[in-house]
Amino acid sequence: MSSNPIRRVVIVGGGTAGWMTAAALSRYLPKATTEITLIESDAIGTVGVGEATIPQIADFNRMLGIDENEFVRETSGTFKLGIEFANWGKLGDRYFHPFGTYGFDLEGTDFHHFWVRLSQLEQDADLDAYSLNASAAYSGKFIRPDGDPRSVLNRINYAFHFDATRYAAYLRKYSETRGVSRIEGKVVQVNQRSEDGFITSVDLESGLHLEGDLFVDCTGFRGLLIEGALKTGYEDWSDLLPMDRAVALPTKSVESPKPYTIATAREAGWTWRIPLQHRVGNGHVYSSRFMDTERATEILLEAVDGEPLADPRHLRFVTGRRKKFWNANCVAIGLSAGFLEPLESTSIHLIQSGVSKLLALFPNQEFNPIERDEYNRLLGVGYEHTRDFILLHYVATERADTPFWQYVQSLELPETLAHKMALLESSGSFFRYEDELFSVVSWLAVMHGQRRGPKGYNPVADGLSVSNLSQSLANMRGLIGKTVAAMPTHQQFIDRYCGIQNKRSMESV
Amino acid sequence: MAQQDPVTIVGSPLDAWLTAVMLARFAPLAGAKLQVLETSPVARVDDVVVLRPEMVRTNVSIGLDPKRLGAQPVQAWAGPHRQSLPFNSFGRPLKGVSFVAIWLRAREELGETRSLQSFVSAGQTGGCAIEVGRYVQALKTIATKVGVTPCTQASEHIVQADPNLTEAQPDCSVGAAVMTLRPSTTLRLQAVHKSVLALIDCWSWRENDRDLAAREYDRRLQAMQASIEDMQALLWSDGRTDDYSSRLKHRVSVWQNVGRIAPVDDDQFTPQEWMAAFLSAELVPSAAGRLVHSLTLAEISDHVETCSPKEVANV
Repeated sequence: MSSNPIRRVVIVGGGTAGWMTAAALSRYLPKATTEITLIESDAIGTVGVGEATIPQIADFNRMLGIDENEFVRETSGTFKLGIEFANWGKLGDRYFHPFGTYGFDLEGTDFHHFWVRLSQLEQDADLDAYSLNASAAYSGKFIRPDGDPRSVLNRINYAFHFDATRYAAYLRKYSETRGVSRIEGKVVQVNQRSEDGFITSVDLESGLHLEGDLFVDCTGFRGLLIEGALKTGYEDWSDLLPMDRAVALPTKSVESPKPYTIATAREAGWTWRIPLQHRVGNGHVYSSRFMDTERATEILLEAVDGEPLADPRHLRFVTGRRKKFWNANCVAIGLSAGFLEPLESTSIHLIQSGVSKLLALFPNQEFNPIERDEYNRLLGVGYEHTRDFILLHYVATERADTPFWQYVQSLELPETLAHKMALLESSGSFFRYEDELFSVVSWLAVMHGQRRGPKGYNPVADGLSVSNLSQSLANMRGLIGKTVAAMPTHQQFIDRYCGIQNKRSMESV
Repeated sequence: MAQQDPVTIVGSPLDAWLTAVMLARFAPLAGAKLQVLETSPVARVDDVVVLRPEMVRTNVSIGLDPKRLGAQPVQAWAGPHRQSLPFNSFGRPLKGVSFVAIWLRAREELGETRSLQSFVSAGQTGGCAIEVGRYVQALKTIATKVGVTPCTQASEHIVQADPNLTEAQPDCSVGAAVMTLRPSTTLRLQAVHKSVLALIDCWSWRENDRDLAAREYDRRLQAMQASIEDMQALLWSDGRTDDYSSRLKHRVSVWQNVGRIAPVDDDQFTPQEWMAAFLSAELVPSAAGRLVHSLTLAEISDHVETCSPKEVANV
């Protein structure tokens, strides 16, 4: 079982993907057996994907044994309770996609069936009033769950906004403490075995020759190893998701950070706003088929509130995924594995998912194809599910006011997505694929928020009398309202536990 | 079906009364009469049937608390060769390493001789064992309260729960009428439970969504069938792999090579049930993940002892 272990892991590329991989491998691989080296060049910039995350990132940090307050402080982070979507279902619309749950299940049946019934009887359509996360977010409040399974407060669920560059630096410190060697330099040559294409070594500009058993490609869109050397191929999804450009612009904060991301639909894409402690991250994702760079930049500049802290930075991408994430002895993680626009803040999660599955299916020097194939299968399914959920935002809409929105309305949807949408819209019924990231709460938030039902509900909801139903749901709203009222503000919570001013005062001590 | 017509549920007492009560309780048919036509029993009244944890929850929702009928809590259900398929997990992970990997390394390098099944975590699973006679009687009592009666009149509308009823033209089929089941009352009830839940979910949809409802019902039944058939193939195979579906072959291969249960859509069983079934078919992993080597043998030895049933029981 322990024979022939991997002795040398070489990670090419730093950034968020490289250092998340290095941190996790250094945490779990026995130091005596396996040497981990990361090559990165200060001359090559990182994209700094993400900044906004989903709650699973907390599992990753826990897995590494990271102190959460320290992590938030070091990355100038804030807490995130969900995403506000503006102008998606229709111009002028606004809804919240919360982490956490809606209401309380009754009779062993999902809460939303009872809510649909009541909303049809009483026109009570305010779904947010049943979400602790949405209610807290719109009140500017935040607190962590209290750990008591009977408490309402325990139902709050959260993620983070953080500075991805600082996160990478934080994880670099973590990894180097655990024995990861960092080599500064540029890879100029990838050497392969002639018989099977396995990578044997890389040559650096400095003349250094570095051999390895397993190579992790974190070189970003270029895919220096997985594509440059191994010619793995790329599955292009831009027919379904035509966005291929982004422009990013940090600005000064003009208010206390909101505990949520804002994603606003635009003429040919959408803009993001991510509040950090020391600045606000802004950006505009758009389709170059429908909008030029000047117009995209103009829209972004009109959308920001604070003073710009840098010039707008332009990025290009092709939505899709590598045909194989793991090819020969090379695993692509991060942007070298694929790209999905960050509408649901999944970029860092896709890195996390790649790292976790690599750990679970970690090879030895025999490179059993079953481990590789299972890794590729699981990651492939994960990318597809995430793609479909992002696509949902573009197609579950009444918008047809620009050529871009008319185009997305004409798309032929993947059959699984069409079926899921039809089920939820018609009957409130939902099924979740194995390993699917987004639950019924997420699908319901988007479908309802974008005016697509549900129109029906499970007949179990008819089992309660109207007065009982009305009273039960009023009690839920009351309980959530009281709980939110007692929470500190988001800013108070940060100041108390993880504010960057605490770091400064600690440094001065 | 027109909602005022009587609907007849045809099946063994166990299958038919469970179906009828679930439909009456969760899918009220706006005044339609539900009646039960019993066919031959599939179990003796003094046989004991295991209700899975999720079935117990459904029973409580329909007003039948198995505990009050003297049901005994159980940790597992049994396969045809007395294989024990547990509802609780095996041991506990340590530093992110699964207990199965720890147990495999302990077996290989520390001479651990206890079976994986002997490390099933103690504590309530929610599953229980109940006498068939008592259970059927309780279902009938509830059925009376919710207006279900024994069959008294001819009916054009039939829900078929009996696979041997060939002359009928059912409106829909549930449980054993959907698929070929091996002689296991636990699997049989699981099939009834899952298919009736699917039927309830799809029952009351608006008239113009009938096709969608039918497609969704079929999708769920096919998923249930695939999962149960795989489990049956494992438990009844006697070492033969000819009956394995391609999905099961993939899962066996991942298990043997990596020591993991490959996740699949709509799985009807928990990972620990699959692990137990694989091991009972003498399918043992050759590797169990490399992460286990991040633990020292001393840590492994200590952890295995803390997870041993005696220790857990004392906790």
